[in-house]
Amino acid sequence: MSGATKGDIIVIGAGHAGCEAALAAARLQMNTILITLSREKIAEMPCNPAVGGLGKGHLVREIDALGGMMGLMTDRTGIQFRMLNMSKGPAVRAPRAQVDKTVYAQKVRETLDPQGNIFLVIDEVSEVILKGHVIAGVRTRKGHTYLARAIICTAGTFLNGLIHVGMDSHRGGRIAENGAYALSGSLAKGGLQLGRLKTGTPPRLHRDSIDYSAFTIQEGDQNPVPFSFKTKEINSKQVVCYLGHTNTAVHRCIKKSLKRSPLFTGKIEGIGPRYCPSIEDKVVRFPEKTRHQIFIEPEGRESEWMYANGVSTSLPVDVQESYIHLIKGLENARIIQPGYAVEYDFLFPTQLKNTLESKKVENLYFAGQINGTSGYEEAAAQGLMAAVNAILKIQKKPPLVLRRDEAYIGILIDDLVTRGITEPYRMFTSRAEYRLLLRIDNADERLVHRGYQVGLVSEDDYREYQRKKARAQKARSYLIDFKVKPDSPLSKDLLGDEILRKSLPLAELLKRPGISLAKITSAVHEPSLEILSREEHAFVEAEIKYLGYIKRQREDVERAKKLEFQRIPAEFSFRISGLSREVREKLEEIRPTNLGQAARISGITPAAISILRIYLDRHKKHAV
Amino acid sequence: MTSPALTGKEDPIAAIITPYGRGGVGIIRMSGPGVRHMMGKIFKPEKPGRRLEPRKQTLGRITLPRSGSEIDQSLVTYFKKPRSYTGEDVIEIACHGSPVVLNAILETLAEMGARPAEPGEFTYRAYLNGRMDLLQAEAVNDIISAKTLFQTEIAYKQLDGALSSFCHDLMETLLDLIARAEASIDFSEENYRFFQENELVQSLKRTSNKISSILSTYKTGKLIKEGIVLAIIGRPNVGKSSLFNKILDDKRAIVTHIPGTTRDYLEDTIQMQGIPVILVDTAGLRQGRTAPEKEAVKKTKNIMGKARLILVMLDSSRHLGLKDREILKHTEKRNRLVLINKVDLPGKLNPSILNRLVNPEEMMEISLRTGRGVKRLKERIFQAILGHEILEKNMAYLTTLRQKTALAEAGRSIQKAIRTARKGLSEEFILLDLHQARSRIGELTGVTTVEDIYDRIFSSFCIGK
Repeated sequence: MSGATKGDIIVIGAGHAGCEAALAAARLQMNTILITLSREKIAEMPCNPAVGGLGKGHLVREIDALGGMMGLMTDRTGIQFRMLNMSKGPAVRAPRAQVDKTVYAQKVRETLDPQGNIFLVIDEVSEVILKGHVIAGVRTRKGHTYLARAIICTAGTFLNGLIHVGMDSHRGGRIAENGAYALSGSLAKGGLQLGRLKTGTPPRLHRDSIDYSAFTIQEGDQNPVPFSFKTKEINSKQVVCYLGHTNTAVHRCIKKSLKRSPLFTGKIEGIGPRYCPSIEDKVVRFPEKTRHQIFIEPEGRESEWMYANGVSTSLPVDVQESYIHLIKGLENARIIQPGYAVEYDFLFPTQLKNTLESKKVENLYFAGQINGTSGYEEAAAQGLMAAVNAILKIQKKPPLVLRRDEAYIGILIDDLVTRGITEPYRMFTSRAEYRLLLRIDNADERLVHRGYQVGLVSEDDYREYQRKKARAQKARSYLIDFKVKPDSPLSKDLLGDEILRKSLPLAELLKRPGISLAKITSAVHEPSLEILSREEHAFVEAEIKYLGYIKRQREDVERAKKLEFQRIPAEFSFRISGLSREVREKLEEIRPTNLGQAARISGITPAAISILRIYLDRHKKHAV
Repeated sequence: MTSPALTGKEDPIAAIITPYGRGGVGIIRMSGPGVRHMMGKIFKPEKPGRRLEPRKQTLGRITLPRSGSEIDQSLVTYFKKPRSYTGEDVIEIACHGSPVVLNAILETLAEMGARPAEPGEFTYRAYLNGRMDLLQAEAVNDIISAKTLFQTEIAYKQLDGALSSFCHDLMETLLDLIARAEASIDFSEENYRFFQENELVQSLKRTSNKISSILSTYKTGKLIKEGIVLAIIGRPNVGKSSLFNKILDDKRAIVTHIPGTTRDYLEDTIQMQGIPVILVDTAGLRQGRTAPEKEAVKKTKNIMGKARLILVMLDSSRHLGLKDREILKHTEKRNRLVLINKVDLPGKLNPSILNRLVNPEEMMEISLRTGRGVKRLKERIFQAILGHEILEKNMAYLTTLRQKTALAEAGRSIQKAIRTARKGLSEEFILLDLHQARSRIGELTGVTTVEDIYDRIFSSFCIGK
C-alpha cells in the first residue's frame, strides 16, 4: 500500500492505558506508532487528580513491579501522600496520593519523548483495516494509513462520546475535547459489539474563591511511603486537602432541579458506576442523609484549580452555581469548569481473551476504559498487559497471563473477560478471594520475575530486588532462630509482665497481637533487622505474623488450582446433555479455557460444572 | 452425577408418574423438545379441530399405531416451556387403564423418540432449568419416597421452603455482615460507621446459635426420613410372626405350628407416631445346612447390625436352649428388649439363669395369645427407639447428611470468625471465615457472588466519591 507507514505496534489513544502500552512497546524494541487526538492531553487526568487507594494502589504497585511507569510518575509528581488502613492488616493497606495533574502529564511526555521508536501522530483513527479476521492497520481522518503487526485500542471515553451538562448535550470525548465518531462503526463492522456507559465528574472551583476556614484540614502522612519499589524516599512538601459537607439546603436545591437532570429525565442511557454516584444520585437514593462529604483537593501545587470531590454532577450550570454556593465555605466559590457527565461506547470485554486480544479479530487488542473499567490505574494495568502480550505473540512466545492468586491485575482481566461488566468496573480488595496473598509489600516478590523475563525490568532493578530478597531472608532466619529465654531482660522488654514459660523464637512472639516487628527491632538491636527498609520491614512482618492465615489462603489456592488444571480444549463442544440452553450459550460465548474459569461465569451452576467434568474426562479418554 | 448426564442428546423423556396399581387413573408425563408434535401423532381430541393449548386439558383418545387400538378417553394437558415442571415443554396424559395400557403408551412414545426417564430425571431437569433449587429438588425426592404422613408433611414443608427459608434467611444475615465488613475495608475513607460497637460479634453469635438449633434437628429428621429398623429374633415358633402381626395389626405372616415355617425374613413398615418403623422378622441365627439357609442367616446378621432396637423373644414355657443363649449373647451389648412370651402357659424358664443373661429393665413378660403386656410393649418400643425426642410438625428439619455437613461446617467457620474478631484482628481476617460460611450455606441455597455483596453495599450505604 503506497503512502502507508509501517510499524510493529499501533496504540490508539494516549491516556494512561495508551502511555503504558506505548512505553512498554518502545522499551521492548518495537517500532511504535502512538496516535492521539491532542498532544497537550497526553496522560490527562480528567477526573480526580489522584492515584491509588484500596485496590487501585495495589494495581500501581504491581504495574511498578512489572516495569510499568505509573508508580514512578506518581512518586515524582505527588503533592500529598497517605497510606490508608494503617490500623488494619497488611493486605488491606494501600497507598494513595494526590498528584499535580499538569506535572504528571509533563513527566509522562518527558518519559515517552526520548524513546526513539515512538512515533507520535496527532490524528483521529477512523477505521480499522481488516484482512479477513486479522487486523492489518488503521486509517485516520487526515487520510493516512498506518500498518502494524498488532494494534492496541485504548480509546477511553472518546468513542461516540456525548457530553451532558444539564439538558444540553454536545459531542465530545471530554469537556473541551473532540470525540471520535467513526471508529465505533468500523469496529462494529468487524464483528465487535459495543455498549454504552457513562461517567461523571464534579465541578472545578477557583482556589482563591474558597473560604478555607469553614473546612477541616486533612494532611498527608509524615513520612510518605513511595508507590514505586525504585523510589527511595519522598522529600517533596505536601499539600493539604479540605473536608466539608453539603447540607439540607443544598439537597433541596438539587431536588427541585431534577427535572433538568439528564440522569433523571432519562436523557443519559449509559450506565454509571454505583460507587461513584453523582450528588443528585446520592440525594435521591438516600433522602434521610442530611449531609454528604465533600473534599476540596488541589489539582496541582501551583494550580488555581480545586477539585470538588463528592459532588460529581450533570445538572445544569446555573443549578451547580446555586447548590455550590449553599455549601459552607463555598458561598463565593467561582466555578471554572462545571461538572458534567460523558456517555461513551465501550466494548463488551467478554469478547476478549485473557491476553486482551479480541477473539474475533486477530492481533487487535483493547485496554483501558474502553473495556468498561474506570480509573487510571485499571487502565494503566491493562495497557501494560496488552502491549506485553501483543509483543509476546509477535515473538511467538507464550503469553503473560496472571492468575487470580498472583495479582490484582490477574483478577482485573479475569473478571472482565469471564464475567463481563454491568457497570464501570473499579478494583476493590473485596474482589480478591486471595486477598491476604496479594499485598502491596509483596508485589515485587510476585511479579518482578515476570517483568524481568519479558524484558521490562532492567538488570539493575532485578539485582536490587534480589538483594532485597536476601535481606528479607536473613531477617526471617534471624527471627526464627533467635530464641527469647524466660526471665531474660528481652522477654520483659517485649512481654512486659507476662511470663514466658519456655524459650520461644522471636518469630513465634511476633504472632502475638501486642507485638510488632518494630517493637522487636528496637529491642534487639540486630543489624539484619535494622538494615531493612520500611517496605522490606512490612514484608518480613506480614509473612511471619499472619503465617497461619496466609497458609490457609495458599491451601485454598491449591484446591482451586485443581479446577484450573482441567483444561477445556478449544474444539470441545458444549452441546452436551444435561446443560440448559442458557448455560450452553454462556459457555459458547465466553469459551472458558479451563473448568475454574467456567465456574466463575455468572449463571453456571455447580451441577453444570459436574456435568462438564464428566464430559471432559470422556473427551480426554477418546482423544487419547 | 448419575446417568441422566451421560445418555444421548437433549432428548425427550417419558415416564409413568403415578404409583402402580393405585386407583383407576394413571398419568404419563413427557418432557423435552418435540413432545407436542409426538402427541399430535397419536392423540385425537374429542372435539374435532381442537388443538393442544398451554395449561388446558383436552379430552380425546389415544391410538396405538402398532395395534391400531384406541385407548379409552384420555385427558391430555400441555405445559408450554418454561412454565412447566421441568422448564421444558411438558405433556401429561391421564387415562384409565391398567399398567398394561400405560406401558403400551410408553412403548409407543419410546418408538417415537421419547425414551424412558431415569429415576429423578424430571426433577433433575427442573433443577438444571432453574425451576427449583437444590433443597427443593431433594424434597421432591423425599416426598416420593415418603412412607408416612408425617414424613410427607416434613418433606412437603421442605418443598414449600421451610428449610429453604431458614437457609435463605441465614444467608441474608451473613451477606449483610459480609457486605459491611468488606465496606469497612474498601470504603474506610468514607467516615461511615458500618458496625455499632460489638455488633459484628453479637450478630455472629446469634447466627451461630441458629445453626446449632437446626443441626439438632438432623437426628430426628434423619430418623423420619429413613425410618428405623426393628428386628425380631428368636427360636422357631417362639411367636415372632405373631408378634410381627400383632404390631402390624394385620395378619401378614404365615402362622403355623410347624417349626421352621418362616424360612426367610419378613419386612414391613408401620407408622409409630409418624416415624416409619421397618419391622424385620428374622430367620434366626441357626447355622443352616442348605445354601438358602446359610444365606438367610447372613441376611439376619446384616439386619441385626442395622437395627435400632432388637426384640429378642423367648418362650416362657420352654427351658432356655442353646439357640436362645446364642441369641442373647449376640445381642447383649445392643439396644434390645427381651420378650418372654407365652406367660399364659406354665413357665419353665429358670429366672436365676435368665437374670444372669439379661438386665431386668430389658425384660418384659407378654402373652401374644391373650394380649397381655402388648400395649405396654408398644409403648416401650416407641420409647426405646426415640428416647425423649419430641417431634414438632412446624419446624424445619435437616434430613440429609449433605445438609448437615454443610451447615455444621458453616457453623464452625462462624465460630472461628468470632474468635478472630475477639482477638482484635481486623476485618479481612474475619472475612476469611465468613466467606467460607457463605460458601457452605451456598451449597444449600445456591451460589452467591461478589456482585451480590456489592448490591448490598451500594443499596444500603451512601458511599463513593
